[in-house]
Amino acid sequence: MGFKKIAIINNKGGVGKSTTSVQLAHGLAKLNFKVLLIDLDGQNDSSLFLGFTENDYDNTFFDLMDSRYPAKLEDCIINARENLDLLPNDNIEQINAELHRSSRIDIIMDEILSGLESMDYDFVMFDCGPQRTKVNDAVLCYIDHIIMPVQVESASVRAVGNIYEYLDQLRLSNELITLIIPNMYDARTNESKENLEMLKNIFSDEPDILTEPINRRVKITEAGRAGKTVFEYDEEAADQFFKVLKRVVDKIV
Amino acid sequence: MSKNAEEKNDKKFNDILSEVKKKKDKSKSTDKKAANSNDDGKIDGNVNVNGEDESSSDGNSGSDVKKSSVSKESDTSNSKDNEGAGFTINLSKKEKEPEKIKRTYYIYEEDDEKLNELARHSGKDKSELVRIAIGFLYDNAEVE
Repeated sequence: MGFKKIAIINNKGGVGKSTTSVQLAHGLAKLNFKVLLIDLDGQNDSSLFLGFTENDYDNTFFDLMDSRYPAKLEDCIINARENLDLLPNDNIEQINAELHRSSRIDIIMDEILSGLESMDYDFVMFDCGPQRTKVNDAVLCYIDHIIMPVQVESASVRAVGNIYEYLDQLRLSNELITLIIPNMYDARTNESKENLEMLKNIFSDEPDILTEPINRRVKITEAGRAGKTVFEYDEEAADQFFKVLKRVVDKIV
Repeated sequence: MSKNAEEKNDKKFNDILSEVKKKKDKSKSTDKKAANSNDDGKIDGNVNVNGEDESSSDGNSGSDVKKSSVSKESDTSNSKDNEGAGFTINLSKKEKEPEKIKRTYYIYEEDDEKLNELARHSGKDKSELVRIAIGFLYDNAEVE
């Protein structure tokens, strides 16, 4: 298979997974890579941030899992931007319930997404939901790289080790963790600075894994609410993601 | 406002695009090198299959050892781990083989059956197959 598989994941909610997923997916698409973003977060934020509501699609990821009449992958994918496609989701509880019935969580995603082999994507990215779920288990068994946004706030920084435990439990290598993105950094507060330092200390033996922080910007939130990416919406907000995009190109492309 | 920002942002992609282009070019040249040394994932091995072959002295050998001085090619499909990958191992006799030595190692019954089956299927003797497997592992896998 020619495409690279990336999960944007963190067991904590509200750390910016969907925002990161959408911006990086669109950034890679603008670099002329063909990207499929798979929304597997229960809140459908990736779809919303790209400007789609439930009324804009009929089929979703769940339709691929119908054991009797699975939908064709191409019928579930919608074009979001030039070079960027979206596989939306509207029923994460049912997907989880279905996956609980699967005896081979390690290969189930390969089976569900087998249609990708005949498509020409360069990147398949997963916007994962928080917490340890069967969906996330299946995604982690499928992907080659993990990008983890971490909110620069004490509880999130303290919980950064959870992903290592999670991977251990799944018997997966922690080398999957490719980039950790300090997110929502506020350089004006001492607390934020201390938490960023703490993150740097945690990864002092592998500084290559940590990106520059993404500063908290209202425009980033506004862009999502307007159904646009930062690259379409605001220059300064886009700058926050350019630096991370460069790291993705360095490490993954 | 956003239209203007988009245009400005698009210009900023040019820097990264040149970086991507470099990487793509590098990847292409690496692929080209790999293709030259390895035709479509096929691994060339040199196998002595003439009458002087000592491999049949291996106590484990239960396969039909073909003795021939004619160079030949065979494809051995890797049974499980590479299912779907569809690669084949291509053997061809091109130059004289280094000296063989006899060694005894233990093998599980199940693996012995697989080896027998592979030997039957490919027409190669088991020593040859072990040599190919070691070569493949050495070149392609990190064994922990």
